[in-house]
Amino acid sequence: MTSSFARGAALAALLAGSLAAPAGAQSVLASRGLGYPIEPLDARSRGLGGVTTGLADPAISMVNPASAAGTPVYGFVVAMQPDRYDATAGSVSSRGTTVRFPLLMAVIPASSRLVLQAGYGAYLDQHWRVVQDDSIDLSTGRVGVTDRFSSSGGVARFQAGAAYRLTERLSLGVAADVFTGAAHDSSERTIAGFLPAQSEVVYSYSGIGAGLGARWQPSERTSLSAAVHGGGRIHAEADSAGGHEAKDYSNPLSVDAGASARVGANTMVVLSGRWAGWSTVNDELSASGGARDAAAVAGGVEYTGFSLFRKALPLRLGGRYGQLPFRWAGTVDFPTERAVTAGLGFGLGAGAALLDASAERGWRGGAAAGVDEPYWRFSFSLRVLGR
Amino acid sequence: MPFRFVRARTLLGLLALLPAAACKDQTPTLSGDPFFPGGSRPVTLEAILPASQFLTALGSFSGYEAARTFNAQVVANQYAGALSAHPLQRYIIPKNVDYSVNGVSTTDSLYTITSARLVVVVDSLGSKVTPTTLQLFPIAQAYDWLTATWTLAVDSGAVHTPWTEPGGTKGPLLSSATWTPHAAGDTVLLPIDTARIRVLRPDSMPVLLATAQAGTRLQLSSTVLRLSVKPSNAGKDTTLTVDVSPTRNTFVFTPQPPAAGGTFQAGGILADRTLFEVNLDQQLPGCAPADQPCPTVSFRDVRLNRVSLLLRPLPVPLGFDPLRSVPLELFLVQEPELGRRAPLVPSRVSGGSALDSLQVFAAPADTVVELPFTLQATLQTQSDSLRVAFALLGEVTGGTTASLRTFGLGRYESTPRLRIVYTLPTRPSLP
Repeated sequence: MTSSFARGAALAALLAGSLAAPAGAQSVLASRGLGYPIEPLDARSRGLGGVTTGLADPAISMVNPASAAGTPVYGFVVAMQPDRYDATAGSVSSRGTTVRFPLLMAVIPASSRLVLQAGYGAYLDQHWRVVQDDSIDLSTGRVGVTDRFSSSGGVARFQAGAAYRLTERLSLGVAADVFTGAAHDSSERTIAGFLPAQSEVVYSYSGIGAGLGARWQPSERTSLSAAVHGGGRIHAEADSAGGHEAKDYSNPLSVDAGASARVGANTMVVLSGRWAGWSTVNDELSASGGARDAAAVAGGVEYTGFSLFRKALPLRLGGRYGQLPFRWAGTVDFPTERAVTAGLGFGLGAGAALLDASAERGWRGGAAAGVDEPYWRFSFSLRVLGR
Repeated sequence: MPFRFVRARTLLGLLALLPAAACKDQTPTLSGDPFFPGGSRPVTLEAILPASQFLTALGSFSGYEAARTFNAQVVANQYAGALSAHPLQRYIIPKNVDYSVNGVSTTDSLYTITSARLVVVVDSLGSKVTPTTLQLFPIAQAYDWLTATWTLAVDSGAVHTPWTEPGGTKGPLLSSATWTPHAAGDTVLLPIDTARIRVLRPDSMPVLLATAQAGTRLQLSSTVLRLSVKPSNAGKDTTLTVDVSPTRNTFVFTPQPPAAGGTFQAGGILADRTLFEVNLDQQLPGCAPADQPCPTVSFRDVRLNRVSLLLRPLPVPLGFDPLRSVPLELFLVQEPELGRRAPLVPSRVSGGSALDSLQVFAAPADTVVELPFTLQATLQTQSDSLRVAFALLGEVTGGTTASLRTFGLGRYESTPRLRIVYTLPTRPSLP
């Protein structure tokens, strides 16, 4: 029963993930720079403030390839993120809701020490749309126009990796990142009484990168993790009836480090930090405001002493502060992002599946950044283990 | 069923709903300048090209319709110092009248006409709006309604019989009445002496209509002879109203409509049309006028918002000016080398569009008439040739709308301009 449940859940999760491939944006900042950076995290990490690495127990992670070391059975995780935001820029407001799937990943133990993993995750979101009413002068007089510009897609990351348990306390991981994805931009001008004019541009992205990770458990109660990704370039090509353009962007180096500790029988604290060297694309993006290195810290507490239906119900609280790499406009400050989070988990099928959920209240931008964007983000993820 | 099993199924069901949740995704829609990234706004431009740059005239043709197929009649007297027209009508007085008394149907051939009047409805939109006296005359000479002209009563084969009096040989005046615009509606009643009616029975009663004042021109929507009759075998208070519609309607006029003479001419009583070819293979400005000089873009490479012909109306001589709006329409001509016999194809694409290729009603006061053919131009950009031949017609024929013609002609300068409103395609713009 448990095994068939796990297979069924895995199939359903795969179906959900594959049909929901087009992701929505999580911010109006998706229209700036190379897009809005998305971390491929599950709902447990989100509930803990958005920690990217540092958890002690084996976990399926696209950030730290060493995290999967020690996974005893095959597993699968899919995450879903509905969100809602209200953005204000100057005197103009906008609001939106989206649902996206930032992480889809599987692990397969090859031996007692070696675990293989592969997955697909979000990287840069370029999904947005803008509507603008205006008027233009023609020989017959002034006429109203409505401009609609939409961008759908972004840059995603396919990753294949391996985690190796070098010793009981130290695990290492290596990953190859393949950047892929495309953004379809369409522009339409509607003039009252005239035929609308439409044109499209398709931006496609490709590139490769690499990642290394390590997890060290100096004691049974503590764990330290670190991962680094980078290398290579992201190649972008734009095609339209109006021409062709190509450009390369340096793939920024990103470093994640985290630590966790059990501070009580049922309490665990975790803290992580991230630094991403987006300033390497500052020159390429100078016309649209440039880019900066972006650092972020996140931390949270998980309490496992609560149970429901005789099953442990982990409760989580967390917070995060981070810098965003791309400006809203050319001369304003770079935006930041702040959030508080809460979450819980629920085991299903005698531990064969874990359903995690989190809620996040955050704020992006600020007066000096040119845009103010409070948001709600919810995450749900299902981890299925082949027990 | 074990609780765990139920729970598992519930979870599977929830998972299956995930794609549905994704389908409700609302793309963030920003609004207003602050949200519009710089450089991505569409640029719309307008070019107006002279005829010498795009047009080849193929000819104007006439005679596709005749006066007898016109669904109205025109009566005129030296209108614009030239045009005179007389409707020729026949009214066949019925030999019998049928009526019923207490549910019993009765036919009577010995009835008495107690009064008669011609009821005329004037189409004020197609008429010169001025008080006009309508006159009704019997026609005192035999004629052939199919071939009669202003000068000939019969013009059939080898038979050419002139009217004794051009415009139809008149007998003594039967009746007259004055149409006063805006005073008593558009209906004019011409009473007829019943004694004259009796003289005309039992044969048909051919009559012609004329106007008394020079410089007048009326278009008549309908005419009917309204009789009040008293049956011979009914009570003395019984009176019936019998409406007699005219048969073999036509009207004769002089002079003939003016020839196109190198102008663009369309519509009118003889259904004129003008054929021409448009060359859309044009280079257009690729930037706003203020940015001159700037590179050009080809017609195929822009997004067309509107492509239209701009026609400049000309005065129409000989009294054939359009008193009401002329319905202009462009038809495709696939074999223009056939000239006046070239078959026409409606240019409307996919049944037409609210934005394009519908009939344009050119009002007499218009200084410029715009004829759009944007959809057809867009189709041409997807074909091998950017040359397309059109016929300009001044009538609505076939389709779902009722046939509509006008007596007056549309006449335009032979140098129409080509108006192109276009939006430059979005260029790739990597950040």
